[in-house]
Amino acid sequence: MATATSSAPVRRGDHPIVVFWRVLRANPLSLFGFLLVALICIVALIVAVAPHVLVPYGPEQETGLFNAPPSWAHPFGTDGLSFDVYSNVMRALPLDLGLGVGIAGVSLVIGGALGLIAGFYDTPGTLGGYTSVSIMRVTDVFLSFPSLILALAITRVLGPGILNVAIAVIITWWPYYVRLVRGEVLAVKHLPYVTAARAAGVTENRILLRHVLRNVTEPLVVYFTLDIGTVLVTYSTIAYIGVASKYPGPQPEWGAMLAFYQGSAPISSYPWLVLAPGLAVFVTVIAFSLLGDGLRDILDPRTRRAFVRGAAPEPPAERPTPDAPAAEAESDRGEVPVVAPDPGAVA
Amino acid sequence: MGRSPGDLLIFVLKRLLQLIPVLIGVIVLTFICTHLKLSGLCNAVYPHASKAVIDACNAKYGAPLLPQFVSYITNLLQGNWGASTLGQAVYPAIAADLPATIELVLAALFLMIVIGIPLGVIAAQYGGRWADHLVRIFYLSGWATPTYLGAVLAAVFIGPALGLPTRGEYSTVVPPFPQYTHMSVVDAIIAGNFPYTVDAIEHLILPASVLAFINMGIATRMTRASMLEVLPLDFVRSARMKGLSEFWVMYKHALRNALITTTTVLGVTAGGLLAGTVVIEEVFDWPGIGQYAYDAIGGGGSVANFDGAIAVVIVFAIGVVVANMIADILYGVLDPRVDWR
Repeated sequence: MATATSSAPVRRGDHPIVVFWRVLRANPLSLFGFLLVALICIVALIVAVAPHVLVPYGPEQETGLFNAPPSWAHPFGTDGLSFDVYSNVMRALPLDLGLGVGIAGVSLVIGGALGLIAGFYDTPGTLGGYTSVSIMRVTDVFLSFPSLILALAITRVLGPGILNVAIAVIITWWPYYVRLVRGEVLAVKHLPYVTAARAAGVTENRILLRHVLRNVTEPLVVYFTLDIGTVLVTYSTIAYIGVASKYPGPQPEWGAMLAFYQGSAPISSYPWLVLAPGLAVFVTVIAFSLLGDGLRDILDPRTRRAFVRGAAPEPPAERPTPDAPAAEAESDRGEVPVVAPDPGAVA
Repeated sequence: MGRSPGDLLIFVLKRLLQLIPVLIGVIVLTFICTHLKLSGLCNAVYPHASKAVIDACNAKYGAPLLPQFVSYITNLLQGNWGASTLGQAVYPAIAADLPATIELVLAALFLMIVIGIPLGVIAAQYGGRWADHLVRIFYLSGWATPTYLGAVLAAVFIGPALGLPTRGEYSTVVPPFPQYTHMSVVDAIIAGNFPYTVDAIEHLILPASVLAFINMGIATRMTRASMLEVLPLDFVRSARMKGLSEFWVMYKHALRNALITTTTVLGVTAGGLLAGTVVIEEVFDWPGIGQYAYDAIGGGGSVANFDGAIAVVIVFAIGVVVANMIADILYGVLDPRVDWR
């Protein structure tokens, strides 16, 4: 079944937004994820800037109703302290989303920079070679920890608080980006267009930034999209365990809310208390996952061929000739530079 | 090609030797991360303690880092892993709790293999069609479910609905037979006690299913990706042309090749599985080190246990490293192209 991108092959030279749109159009689940992500971001922005538009009650404002079931006035009911659950779930959205994007973003910058260095300047025996080896040794050790556990222990030392938890998670998170970016750099750095740029007298630093970095961004963006959800789950789990932020408080957080509700009333009688913050995490994470997972299919060279040419058992061309469709599909990573020169190399 | 049994021994020993620098790194890194900020630590750990206790704590953790590290690593190697705030020694407690966690993780891994891998095959077989989309929704749902939500919902709604127990390892606190291995099902089988074996398996189902559901995505996704890579190849076509049934083509010929990559990835899930036990063991009252970690870190407002928290981090990291090593060795055994020398 040659759905997916067979009708819309990804061609080099198309604007990234055009490519992005074709990928989304070919994959309905990713399109749904993208729309959901857009909606969540808009809502989060509104809540952050002008909360009264969407949030009727304050974070600790009593409504006078205790453990009321969901109704039009209180879409997710009220809790044992008579707070409006809907308002608190909405107030947590900018914080949780911001932490997901922020923690993943800082990790991307730190890990991405180290990964570029480790992958690009890795000639053995030089200063760069030693730096590269040390970065990878430290990264490997970090990667042997389950990040949640290490982050919990670091939070234990730093003390509770949103910023401390964010720092703890970042400390455990950047190594994943080092591994990803270094792998991509190693795959790209010996391709003919890099050699060509070097032969043309382009400086090493410029090759790194204009030719290598540019071809690493695509997988990085996909990974980042998926990672926002993972970070959100990790952060809210730390909050659930009870060492991040406390609920009730001026700034609600989904994990902490769920932990509080789980202990405050029998869940089987008041399911909405646990479901509201829990589903908020679920919907946010699955939106980013649907988007990222679909994008990843197109970028993964193993699944891409099957998707571009259809999963039907067609043998791939052993040596893709320049005019074969397979080569066309591969060329957006610069693997067939004869047909499709890297745009950076022209500059 | 060196692939005789003697070469396999060398291959395994090499992998074991590679563990040593990683383990040293793990211990050093844990020490650094847990001694990042020393001022005010004792006040944070013992908020209501007397001045004498805080002074004693400061004497222990406030010293310069290098001598502290030396005494820390000496004690660690001697099996003296410190004690909890209430005076319970850390090492015996963790040693007693570890088997229950291993049992839970292996049960989850078993479910991931028998459910997750066939789902990946189905998704690849019907790539881009509705079956593929359904499988994707299923594994992304697991991915997007925070462990605490999955565990709480399973314990409160799914467990009672299916009549499955949701707390502990057995229906009685202490089973009427000796616990040699501290793995509930294994102990019951050793004792030859059939009703208790069934009871233990029933207790294991819910926590293991939640753990498996949440970590299923990687196994399914990787199987699907590898299958999509293998399906267009010549040997699959020849198998079809030979007139083999589709089932046989998929599960014997194609999956066998696709599984090699999936094996490696299952090793990588060890981190997620172990991290998941912290919340799952707490919710299902499973007496493993996940629950110990939850308490040690001060979860749910319990008294924090600093030595215990450090020990748990190291034990979990060792668990991940060993799981990766096993996956690496399995990969070498399964893939005939790997030279064992």
